[in-house]
Amino acid sequence: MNENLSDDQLAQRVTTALNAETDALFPEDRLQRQRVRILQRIEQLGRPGRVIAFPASHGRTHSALLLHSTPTTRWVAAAAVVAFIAGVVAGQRLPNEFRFNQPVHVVASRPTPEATGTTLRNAAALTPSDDEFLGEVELATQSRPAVLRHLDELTPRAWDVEVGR
Amino acid sequence: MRTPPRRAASAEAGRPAAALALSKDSELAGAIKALVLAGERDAARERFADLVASQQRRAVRIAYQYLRDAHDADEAVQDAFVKVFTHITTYREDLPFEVWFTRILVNGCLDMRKSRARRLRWSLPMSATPDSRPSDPVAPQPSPEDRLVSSEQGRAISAAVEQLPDRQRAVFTLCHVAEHSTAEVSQELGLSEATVRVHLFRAVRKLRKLLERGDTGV
Repeated sequence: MNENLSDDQLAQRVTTALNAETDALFPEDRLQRQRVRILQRIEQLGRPGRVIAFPASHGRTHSALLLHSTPTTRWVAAAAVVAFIAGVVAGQRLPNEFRFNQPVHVVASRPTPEATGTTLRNAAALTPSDDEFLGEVELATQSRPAVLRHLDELTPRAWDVEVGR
Repeated sequence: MRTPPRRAASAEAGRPAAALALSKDSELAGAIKALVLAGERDAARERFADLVASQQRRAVRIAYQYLRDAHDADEAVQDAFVKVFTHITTYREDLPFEVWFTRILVNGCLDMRKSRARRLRWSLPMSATPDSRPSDPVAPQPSPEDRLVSSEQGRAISAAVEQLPDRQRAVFTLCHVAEHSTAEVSQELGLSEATVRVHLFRAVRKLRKLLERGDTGV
């Protein structure tokens, strides 16, 4: 392409090709947009940064709520503290049989010689003394408040444990 | 030693217009500086829009030759103009505005190239390859006819210019693409005028070789 070209002509041809490439990438509308952007940026130069106020409804954080509590919330908090202390004191004064954390002496039944080797055990396999004991436990459970009865239903019974062994 | 090549024919022909424009832009820059110093920033901004319009095309061509990426060139040109306005009070009216502006632009382009190289070093190899760069969504796609006419030759020339050593490419770009004189380029790049002439001579020599051999990788 450049056999007979002088240096100047060659440089001219190269320059034309390079400019054509750039001009194709930057048509007039793109240059116009660029001009607008430059002037916008210059306009922003002298102005201080704008601080956008946070919406009022979202402005109160959790900690702010705690720090700036109303009389009502203070009363509610005080009542909760008093109720907690009263509950602890009342729990200390309850008779032993009404204590939830009363230790239960469960006597684990020993497997009878004829039941060894089997995986299933039913209530009939329990000794009479065990039955008596469990009857007592059941009686004691029924006499407890309704709240504890639900808890009792959730916990496994001695014979269930024995059967599942 | 051979006489260093002078400016290309069309550049020579366009020289009086360019000199006139340069002189006009230098005056304009001086006027903007005076307005800023007088506290009339709005008026200064209005005059600055004229200066941007006058220098923009040339600035984009220079930036693109340095960066070879339309988005980066766009950003570099914007940054350079904003920097010029920010520091217009330090502009010396005894120097051509174009030289001052080009120096700011070229420094910005070099900084951008450095940061781009750093970015590519830390990015995945896939994004580091030049072929995997996303195409410019804003740039219009040339028509098939245009491609047929100009793609082969244009790509060969672009590839040849890209193979020039950095200094030669910079001198060639500023002398021919930006249409600056060797004296102006020596000021812009901080080189002696003789060195600029040597780099320009070597650049043209190398381009000739590359294009004759077709050794441009295209």
